[in-house]
Amino acid sequence: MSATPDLATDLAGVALPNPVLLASGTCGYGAELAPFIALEELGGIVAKSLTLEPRAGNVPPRITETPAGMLNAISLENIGVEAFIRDKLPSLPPSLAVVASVFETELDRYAEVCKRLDAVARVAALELNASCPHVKSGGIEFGQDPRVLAQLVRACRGATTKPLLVKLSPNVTSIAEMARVCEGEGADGLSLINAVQGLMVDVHRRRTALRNGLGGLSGPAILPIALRMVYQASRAVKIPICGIGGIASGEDAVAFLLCGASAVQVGTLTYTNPAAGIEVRDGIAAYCRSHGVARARDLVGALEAWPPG
Amino acid sequence: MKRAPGTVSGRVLGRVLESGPTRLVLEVPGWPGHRPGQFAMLGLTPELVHRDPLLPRPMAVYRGNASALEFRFKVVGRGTRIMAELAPGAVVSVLGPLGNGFAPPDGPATLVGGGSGIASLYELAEARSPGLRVLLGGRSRADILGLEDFEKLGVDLRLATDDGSLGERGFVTDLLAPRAGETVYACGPLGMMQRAHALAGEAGARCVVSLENNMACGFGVCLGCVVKTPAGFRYVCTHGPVFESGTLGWGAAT
Repeated sequence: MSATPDLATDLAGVALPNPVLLASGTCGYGAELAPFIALEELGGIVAKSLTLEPRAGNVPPRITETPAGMLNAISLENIGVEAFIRDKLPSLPPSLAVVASVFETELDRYAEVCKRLDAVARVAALELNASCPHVKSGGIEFGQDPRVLAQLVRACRGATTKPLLVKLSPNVTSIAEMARVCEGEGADGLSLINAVQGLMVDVHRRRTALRNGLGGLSGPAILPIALRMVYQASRAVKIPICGIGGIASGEDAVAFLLCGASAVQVGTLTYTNPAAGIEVRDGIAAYCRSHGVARARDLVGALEAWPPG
Repeated sequence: MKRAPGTVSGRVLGRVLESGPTRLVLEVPGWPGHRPGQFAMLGLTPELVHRDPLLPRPMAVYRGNASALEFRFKVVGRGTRIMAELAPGAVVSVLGPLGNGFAPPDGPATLVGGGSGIASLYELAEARSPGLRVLLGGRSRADILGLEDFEKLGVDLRLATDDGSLGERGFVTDLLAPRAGETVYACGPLGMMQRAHALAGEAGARCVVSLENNMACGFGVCLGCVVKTPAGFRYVCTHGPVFESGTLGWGAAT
C-alpha cells in the first residue's frame, strides 16, 4: 500500500488536488486567509456569495454561539460581482480552484450574475446559493419550493457553460426531491447542506439573540443532519455531491465521502482555526494510511451495509 | 518566517502557566510581538472532538513578551468561566496578534479605562509617556483589573468606583478633563466611551476608542462583529478594534 494516499478528485468536471474546499461565507474572498495558510494546499475555495451590486448586511447583533455551533444572520453582505472579478480574483494563487457563489433576489438577476462570471476564465465553477435561510426576499423561497428551484436552475443553466453546482437548503421536507429537481434541470453537482434555520433567545432581555430573529445554525451541531441529507441525496441522483455541515476533522470528512459525497467543504470551523481545511485534508490522508486506502476517491459512497441482524 | 512585531503570525497552541478568576497567563511559543491594544482569539477547546464551546474568544493582550502572554478578564459567561478554571498545562489555541491596536501617544495623553476595558490600556500606561494621565473605573474595587500593576508604574493614576470602594465615588469620566491637543484613549463600556468622546470634542482633544464585540473569527471572514457607522458597517476585528471616536455613529448599533 502506498505510503502517500492519492487525494486527487473530480467535482463536476473540476479537477481538485484534494477533496477539501472551504465553504462560501466562511473564507471571505480567499485573500483574508492568505496571512495564515497557503491557499493552494486546499482543494479549492467557494468565495463569499456575490450579488450584482454590492450589498450591506444586517444590523448587529449578527451572530451568537449555540451548543457546539453558532447562529448567524449576516444577510449576504458582499462587494458585488464586478469588484470580485476586478479586485479579488487576480490575487489568488493560480493553482487554486475558485468556485464563485451566486446569490440574488430575482431569477433574471441570478442569471445575470452567472453570465458575468461565465466570462471569467479564472472561475472554475459556479455554486448557486439557493438556500440562505435568513433573507426575507429570496434565498429560502428559491430553495424550498421545487418549482421555483427548477426555474432558478433552468435560468442559470442557460447563462453559463461552466460546471454548475446548486447549494441546497436543509430546510425542506424531502432533500431527495430537491436533488432530483436540480439534476433534471441540468445542474452538474450539488452542495449540501447550507445552514439549518434556527432561533436563539436572550431570556434576560426577552429578545431574540439576533436582531434579525431567525438565523442559520452551523458547526458540529448540524453534522448528523448534513450526513443524513447527503446520504439521501446521493441515492436520489447521479450527479456528484459536495458535502457540507460541521466538518471539524478528517474523520468527519470521511463520513461524508462514505455517505456519497465526492468532495467536502469546511465552513464554520475555519472561523475557529484558519488552517482547519488543511488539517481536515491531512486527516483524510491519515485515515487513508491507517485503513490501507490508496485513493481517497475510493471512499465515495463506500458505506457498507450492516449484516442481517 | 520572521515577521515584524504586530503583524499576523497565525495560530499556535499555547499552554496555561497560571489561571484565575481574572487572569490567564499562557506560554505562547513563537509569539511575534504585538502593539498595545491588539488582541488574540483564544480557542478554549482545541482538543475536544465536538468543540463545545465552539468559538474562540477575542481577548485584548494585557501584556506580553516573546514567550508569555497575560490576559485579564471578568467572568461573564461560559467561555470566561472556562478560562478562569483552566488548569496549568491545559492547551489553548492562540491566533494573533489581531486588529490595529493603539498608536502610542506623541504628546500628552489620558487613558480612560472602565471595567474589563482596562486590560487594553496597560501596555500604553507601561510606556509612561511624558504628560500621561491614567483614569481607571469600575463598579467596585474588584472591577479595577490590574490595579496593583498600574500602581507600581508610578504614573499619574486616578480612580473612581460606582460604590466608592476605591477612589472617587462616581464614573471614571467624572475624572476626565481633557487638555486641548492631547489624545484621550478610552476602552470600557459604550456609555463611558461615548462620554469620553464628547468631553474630548468639547476640549479640542483627539479621542480614540477600542471597541469589543462578539466575534466568530477575528480576521474578517465571519462579518459578525460589525458596528454601524455613518460611513457604513465597519468590522471591529480588522478595521478596529481601535477607532477614531469621531468616525463612529454612537447609536444603538455601535
